[in-house]
Amino acid sequence: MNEELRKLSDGFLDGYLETDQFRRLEELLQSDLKSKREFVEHIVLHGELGLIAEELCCVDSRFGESSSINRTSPQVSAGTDHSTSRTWWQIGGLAIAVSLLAAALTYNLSEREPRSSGEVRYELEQFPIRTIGYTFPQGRSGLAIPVRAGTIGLSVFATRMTEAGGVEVNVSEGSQFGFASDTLGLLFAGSVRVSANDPNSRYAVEIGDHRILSQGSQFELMRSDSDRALITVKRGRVEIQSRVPHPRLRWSFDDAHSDDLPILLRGSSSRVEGLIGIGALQLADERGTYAEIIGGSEPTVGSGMFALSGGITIEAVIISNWNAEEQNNDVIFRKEDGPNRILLSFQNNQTDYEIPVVEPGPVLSFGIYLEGLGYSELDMPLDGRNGRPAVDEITDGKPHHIAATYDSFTGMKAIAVDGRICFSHQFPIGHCMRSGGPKPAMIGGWRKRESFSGVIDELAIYDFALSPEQISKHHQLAQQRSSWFSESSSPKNYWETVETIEEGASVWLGSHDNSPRIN
Amino acid sequence: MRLYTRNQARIAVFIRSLIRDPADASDVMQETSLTLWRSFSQYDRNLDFGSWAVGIARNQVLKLWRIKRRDQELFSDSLFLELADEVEANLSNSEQRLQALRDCVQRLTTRQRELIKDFYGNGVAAAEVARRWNRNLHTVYNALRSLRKELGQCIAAELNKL
Repeated sequence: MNEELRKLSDGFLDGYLETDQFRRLEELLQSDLKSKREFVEHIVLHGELGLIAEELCCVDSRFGESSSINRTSPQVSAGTDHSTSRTWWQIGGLAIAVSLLAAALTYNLSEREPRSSGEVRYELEQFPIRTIGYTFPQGRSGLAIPVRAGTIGLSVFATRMTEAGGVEVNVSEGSQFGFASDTLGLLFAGSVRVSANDPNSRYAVEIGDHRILSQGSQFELMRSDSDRALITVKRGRVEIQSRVPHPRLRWSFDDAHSDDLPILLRGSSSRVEGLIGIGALQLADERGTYAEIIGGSEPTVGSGMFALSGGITIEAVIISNWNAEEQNNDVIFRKEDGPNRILLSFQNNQTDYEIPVVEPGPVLSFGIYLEGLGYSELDMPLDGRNGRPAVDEITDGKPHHIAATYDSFTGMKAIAVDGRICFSHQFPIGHCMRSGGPKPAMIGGWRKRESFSGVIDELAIYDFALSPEQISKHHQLAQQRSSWFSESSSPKNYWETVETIEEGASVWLGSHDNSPRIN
Repeated sequence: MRLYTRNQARIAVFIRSLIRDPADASDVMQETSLTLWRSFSQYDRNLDFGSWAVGIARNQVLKLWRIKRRDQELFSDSLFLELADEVEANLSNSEQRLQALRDCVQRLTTRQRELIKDFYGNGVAAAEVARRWNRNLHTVYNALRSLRKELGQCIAAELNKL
């Protein structure tokens, strides 16, 4: 391999190639067979080293040598691509290893299955976020399928999942269930039984704006149709809780203490007089002008304050000076964790992400990752047609209320402007979001072609979809320059108990007028 | 399951060769494992399982490339497919290559082995390694470059002995 190709190949692998160097590498690979073969040998070596490194770690630890980095405390370096790596290749492998072990030890899965549970706990220690449990398909003894937070599917057979803390979750055949985290599941259809042997364990099953919380108890939950759900408590007691519509995170920009997470003003960004309240964030169309949100991120996808499952709302009041030129996007909010990103942005460029497909042109784009469907963007054309605002209207120098929502319980993804849903797309019901991870969240965009020009105020991220009524109400308050972030929002009680059900009792939820809505 | 276990290293190397970010690679490995499990009924037992599995991994990797291309400099689909073919061809003797690599790694200095463990095994970023070494980032990049060069030559020599 000649030195030029070696340098380019190493730069590619280590992620520091400039655009012209990348083009040169591409040219070499396309035009020269020898270069292509040598490059491939180089990247295969890179792949093999990933495998060998694990063996090396194990061999060394066996002989008492310690690695120079503590393996139990993954290091994080901002702006790098390697910060979240764990024993990556083992994820699939360990799942199979567990399967084989289970197969060897288990001839038939009994109701309690203590041995497999033990293996699962070991796995959970290794991959607390990426792998949250295992399903044990009925009739397929010994097979353990790894389940990652957010995994969702219409189960064609009864499955049992063992969660952290010894909670067993049995999903009935034909049910649709999402694994949001090791303490939360989402029931979209069918029924589920939750059994906790440890009185201190907590596990909740969410159904729209309600959830059933087990504290060391056992219960069954069955959704009979879109309006009703039957809860039967088999052991102990459970709580029915109703969602309190507080944002997960909010920034009013009024003062440094009013925001849920601190922000760092970058470039020429500044605080200005508020559109609502006393402060707002002003950004300019310049590279590096944005507000970086400090904290809230965790090393792995599916963790941190931005890890959402059941739904999302991004809400803000903005004055936009976007020029809508081609290739010039104005990002309102971005949490860039690869395909698991959350993005709300004015765009005028062609991407392959839009669902549904729309005509090329200026759009307000809302992107999230849906389990089983991948990353996609809802691109609302700013064409002034069918009730949608035109570019001129939304960049008229006046404040506009914007809300982008997704609800896995309805499958509805929507964008509302000034209190009214202007554009939406119906996804199949039951696809959880996947988000969170190591990258910092940003208000505005740091790239020149993504920096936001204008003012942003009352930015909020919710872990559920605001209803059209709530959006309309917020818009009305915005018109009166009143905040909907009341002081009472500060102590974050996201759920309040509306009823406690004792052992042996069955209760229909959503069957009478006093019950809050079930999606 | 035995089929999978026998081919696991091949699949893992294929994925990791084409995806440089270990976290992304782990995601693709997991997706591939699940897809293999779900699609196993479609597997024709007269065909080589490894090739079938790598074919599924290839689709998963391509899917990720298409997403990543938004923010990163990545090759076109056609060049990706050519590279994927070439990588797969390289894996035909993966067992011998891996054994040769194991032997070669044992001949490295302690510091080089530590670099492999940290950078490839623990996923420590080059910048963090530089901080721990109290050296600048270029020193780490140069060390990685020398390491790969040395190992590449060593593997070639080892395979020539066979």
